[in-house]
Amino acid sequence: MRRVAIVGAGMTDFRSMLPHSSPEMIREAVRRCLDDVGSLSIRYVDGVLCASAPDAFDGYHDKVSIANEAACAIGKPVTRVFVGGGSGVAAAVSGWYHVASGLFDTLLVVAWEKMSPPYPHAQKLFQTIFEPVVEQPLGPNLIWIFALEMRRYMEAHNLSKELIAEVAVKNKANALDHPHAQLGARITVEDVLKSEVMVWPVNRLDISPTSDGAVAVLLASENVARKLTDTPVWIDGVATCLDSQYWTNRDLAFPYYVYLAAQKAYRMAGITNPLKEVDVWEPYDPFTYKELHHLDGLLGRPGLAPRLLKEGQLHRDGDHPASPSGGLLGVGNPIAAAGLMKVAELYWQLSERAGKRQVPNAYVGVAQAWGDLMQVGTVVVCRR
Amino acid sequence: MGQGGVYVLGVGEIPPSSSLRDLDFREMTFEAAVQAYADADIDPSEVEGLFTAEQDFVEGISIADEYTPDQVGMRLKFNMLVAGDFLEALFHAYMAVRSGLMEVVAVESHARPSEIENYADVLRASLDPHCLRPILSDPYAIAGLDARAFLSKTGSTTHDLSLVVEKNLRNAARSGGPYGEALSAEDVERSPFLYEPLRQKHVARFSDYVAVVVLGSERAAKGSDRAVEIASIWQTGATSGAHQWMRRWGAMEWVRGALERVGRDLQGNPVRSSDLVEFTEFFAHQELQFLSGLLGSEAEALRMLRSGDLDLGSALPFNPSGGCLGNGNSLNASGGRAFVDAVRQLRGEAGRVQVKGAKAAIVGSLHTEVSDSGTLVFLRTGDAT
Repeated sequence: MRRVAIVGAGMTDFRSMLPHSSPEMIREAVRRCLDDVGSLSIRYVDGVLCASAPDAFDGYHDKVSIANEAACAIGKPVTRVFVGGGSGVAAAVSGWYHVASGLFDTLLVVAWEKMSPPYPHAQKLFQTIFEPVVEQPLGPNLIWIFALEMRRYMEAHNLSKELIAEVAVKNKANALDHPHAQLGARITVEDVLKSEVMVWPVNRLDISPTSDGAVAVLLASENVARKLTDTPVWIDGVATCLDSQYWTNRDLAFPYYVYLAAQKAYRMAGITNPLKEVDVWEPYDPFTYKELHHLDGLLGRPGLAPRLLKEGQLHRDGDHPASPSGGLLGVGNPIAAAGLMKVAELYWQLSERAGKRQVPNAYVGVAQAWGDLMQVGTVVVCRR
Repeated sequence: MGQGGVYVLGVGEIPPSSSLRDLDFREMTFEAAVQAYADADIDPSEVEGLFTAEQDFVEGISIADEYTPDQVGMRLKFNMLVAGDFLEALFHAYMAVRSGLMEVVAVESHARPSEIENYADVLRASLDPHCLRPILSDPYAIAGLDARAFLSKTGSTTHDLSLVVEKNLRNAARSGGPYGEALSAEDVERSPFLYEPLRQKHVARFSDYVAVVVLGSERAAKGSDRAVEIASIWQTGATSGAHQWMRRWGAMEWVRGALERVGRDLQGNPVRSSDLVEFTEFFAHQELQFLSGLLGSEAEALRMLRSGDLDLGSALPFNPSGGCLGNGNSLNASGGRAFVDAVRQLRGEAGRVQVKGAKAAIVGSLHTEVSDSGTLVFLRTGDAT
């Protein structure tokens, strides 16, 4: 297979009510990404791949047109992919096959989300992702279904709210070192438990915020990558896996689709023991329990992640650092951009440019995102 | 592994119809998938991934990819939604196979315009909300402006557009397209103006449709005597954003860029090598714009049309299926219909519209009816036997 590298990354601040339009966010992320590659001219970029979903947030049908000029894609190949919350990492997967196919030598991957404008809250638009005949009339929202999943996960592994709350404490503290973070903070487990109960067992501080933001990464073929940078980060494994739309018909205790995607990505990257071979994890953490739930899937061992958390091994200075960026709980959650932020974090970590967030001796990293109706897992394995 | 040829192993479809009220979209896609897998002579378990072309606002649901995998047997497999026309999803699927990521994949797109009560509002939502939406209650007016620019630039007349309609409806009457009929150019010109200079008959009517196509690597195609090779495919973006300020009116600039790339891949002129062209002309003038892009000459495109060189049995049959004018506008599935028709031509299975000895075809599709971006595919009969 043709090798594919990440050679640059850039992002905007993640904020609620960011005073930038979507095109402005995209332009800023792209400019920062190209600046990161020695002020590379857009002329040297063969094509652009966009990720953003759902359309309703921007109030645009077919919103690739938003990115057309902002990402300097005029006259170049430009398409858009999405798989709900999994879109950011899915974009890296798709970007990988653009370059690995031999059709592109360089590809700009751009993800954005503008969640602030929906009034009174983006949650109302999330109702439109549910099945329209049976589910939508019930007026569901995402917190309801995640509360069901969190409850099932706690039950399956006899987990306490206190332990799960530690994910929020860890990630928000990590985010204090991220220059673009929305919710970096020093909080305690007690703060999480005392925050407003949204839908039991989910408290307000268990949830990532609604955010606006954009991220761009530049991918390149091996030959080009070596000309552009001394520190390419290779994407050595990619996979996505989509489960049935009928989320009510499966055991929510274990994300089997994440497990399957991870296993495929590991096989491709030649990883046989992820716990030993992966140095840094960026699992998708829109809710506190989701980081653990997804890590269980990535590790292929139900219930292991909470044990690692309890032992302090998921902290940045632990043996298995998870979300050293600060994750969605700390950096923010502009959906597609949040997933690509995790890929960008791997790029910064594995090229030893993560500053205060740097995990020592990071050679192999895994980023993962998740979405649709608790249904899709998207995974990339990166290597220094 | 990777970077070898990519082949069409099987195709399935629910033929275009003005309304498929009796079938839910799940039933439509299931039926088409069953056909495609049977046509490819494979079990669904052999298909490793799915690429779909869908749009949230057209589906009437957000994050529409949630609802596709079950009925095409793709649960717990690779999935990627490409927000555009079928050929854009095909472009992604082609790259995924060529990269070596997967050996066999499915590409799907469906459209149920008969169930959309306010499509003009949906399409209008793709335009700039400050400058264009307030003044364009019907975004097809953009096509009218573009047609006017084309006529003005080329010195052609609405009669030329009517000749396109006459030809495509005649072809559709033979192919079984839902809007096929024997209509003269003069009849066409008696229809009322909708988006001047476009008359009612210059505009494709809607049709419900679904296509499922199975692609495979060279290895997967080995042994098949019906596999059609995707020799090259390229997509090119628009000349402008949602506001259309920078749009280059009256021409399809994207065709030139895509054609150059396909020509480089083939190391030759794709048009000269082609036995037929299938294209998603949502409006009559778009067929002439696309052909002008292929030929690099508007005058030559018009000459061919007027002299009958685009008819069945002529030098370069253009839309022998009847195109969108004859088969309907199936929104983001339109490229799928054109693609399936071209594959059937190359297999010699096109029935009454068969182009004799067809061995190579160009297939093109627009991103949407009013966009100036699109995808170009060059197909030829497979040699992977």
